[in-house]
Amino acid sequence: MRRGVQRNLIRSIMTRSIPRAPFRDHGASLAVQRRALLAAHPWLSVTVQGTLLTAEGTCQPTPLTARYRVRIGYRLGFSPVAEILDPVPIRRDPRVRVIHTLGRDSVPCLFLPGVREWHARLLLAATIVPWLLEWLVFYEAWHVTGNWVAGGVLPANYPEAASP
Amino acid sequence: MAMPSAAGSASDFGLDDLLLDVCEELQITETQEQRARTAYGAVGEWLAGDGSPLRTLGVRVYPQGSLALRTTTKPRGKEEYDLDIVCEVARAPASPLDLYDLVLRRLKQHADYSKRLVEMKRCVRLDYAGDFHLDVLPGRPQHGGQPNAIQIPDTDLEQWHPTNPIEFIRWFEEQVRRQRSRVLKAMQAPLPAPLAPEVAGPLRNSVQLTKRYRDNQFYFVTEDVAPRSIVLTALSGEIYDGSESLSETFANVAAGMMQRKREADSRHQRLVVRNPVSPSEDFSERWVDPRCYQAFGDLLSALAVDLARLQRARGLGEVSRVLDEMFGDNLGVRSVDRYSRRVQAARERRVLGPTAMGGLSSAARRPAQPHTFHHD
Repeated sequence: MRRGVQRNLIRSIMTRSIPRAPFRDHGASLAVQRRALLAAHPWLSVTVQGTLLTAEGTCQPTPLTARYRVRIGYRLGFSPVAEILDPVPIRRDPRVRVIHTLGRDSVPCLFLPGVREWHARLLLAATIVPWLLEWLVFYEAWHVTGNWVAGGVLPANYPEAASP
Repeated sequence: MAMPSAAGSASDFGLDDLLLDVCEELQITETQEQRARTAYGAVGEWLAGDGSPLRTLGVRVYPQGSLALRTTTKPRGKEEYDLDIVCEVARAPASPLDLYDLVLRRLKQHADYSKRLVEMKRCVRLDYAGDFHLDVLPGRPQHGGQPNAIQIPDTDLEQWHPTNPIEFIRWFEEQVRRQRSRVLKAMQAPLPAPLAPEVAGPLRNSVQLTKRYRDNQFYFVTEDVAPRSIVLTALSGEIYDGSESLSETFANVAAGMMQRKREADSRHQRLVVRNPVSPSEDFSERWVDPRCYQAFGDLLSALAVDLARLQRARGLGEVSRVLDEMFGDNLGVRSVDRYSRRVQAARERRVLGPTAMGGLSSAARRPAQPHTFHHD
């Protein structure tokens, strides 16, 4: 190759934006997540420490429901977890965990795993936060009526039938 | 009471919505309505149709009361609906007792009705046990008075009692139409169809709630002292200020009734509730009996306390407990169930989303992404 062409080729390669070596794609960065949360849900206070984002605040899903102090934790590379701090959800039957929770009464189970209902490109502000508010309303109604009317998937051994 | 949102409380999921759900539960069912309609038509036909001897006297039959006002309210427990029909005879006998007997005899001629009928002070009651009773009120036109003014026989006092059901219904419809915004359908059918609570309007809904509250308060009271529906309806119509909000209307009417009673008490008089279109008719005539007047005062006091509890209630659990106590028959639980299905319906339509204040709305700028609740 002639030197002039070679120099031009090198210059064009150098000046064109070159993608970095591929590494684990975490989707929206925590900074982006934080900005979106603060913009859409100013009732949340959001902190980021390293790879962990924490959002906490007090909400009242409808004028008739109670007020709840909630926290959302999201670590890059992991699924977000919502937790209801106060008042903690209460069982209908003391032997049976609150419906649609994940391991504990205070952790609602807001999406199906494995089918990309949640993934890292999604904004928490458009997903986990409104899903959590919804859960609270349906939880309160379920507590009063015994009916969970918002659909969903329950394990076969969960004693409550799905909503009639 | 929770302040209604500016953009129409339908997106609010507030107390207006929940009280509407209570009214949904208080609606007469379609089958019951059909049966009432059939019975009404048949009785009307018997009294005013081709075979009736009353025809030569010039008779017309029309509904009055809650069916005509479209404020029918499911009574508590096993009690029956109360349906009223006026049988107006143009050329009636001079004596009130004779007119009563005339209509009574015609009803007795019918094999089925003769088994159902109960003679009462101002009407002949046809009892459809477990369902409803149909009160047939004989009447004659009152000439020289207002249009549609009639007199009905009072068989206890043996005299005529003035009233004007048609004009009262018209007056009430006018009050309903004072509602700011929203266009309401005009009353057309001879027996008006019941209205779904969303289109019935806050005044009608508030009357239903008040009547049901009264039913519940006096359910175990054996004496016949409960305030009459017509009194509650007339007061509600007078006090109504055109608000679009059901919770506001219900509270304002309760407060307004209390205020009027207090004003009368302070003048050492009893409150008098006249027919707004026929002032010679005192709807509240039974309040000359102090027990009945006391019962009215007690009702208002209890309602004020319960409305304050409702306003303070936090959480659907507490709200439904208060509503259960106010209205009976698990109406709190049943209306919370409807309320939650309403929220779910908005979610399914993909219009449910978060507000900036940590709430949910069916008019949110950005509805929530679809998702499925799980459990693990």
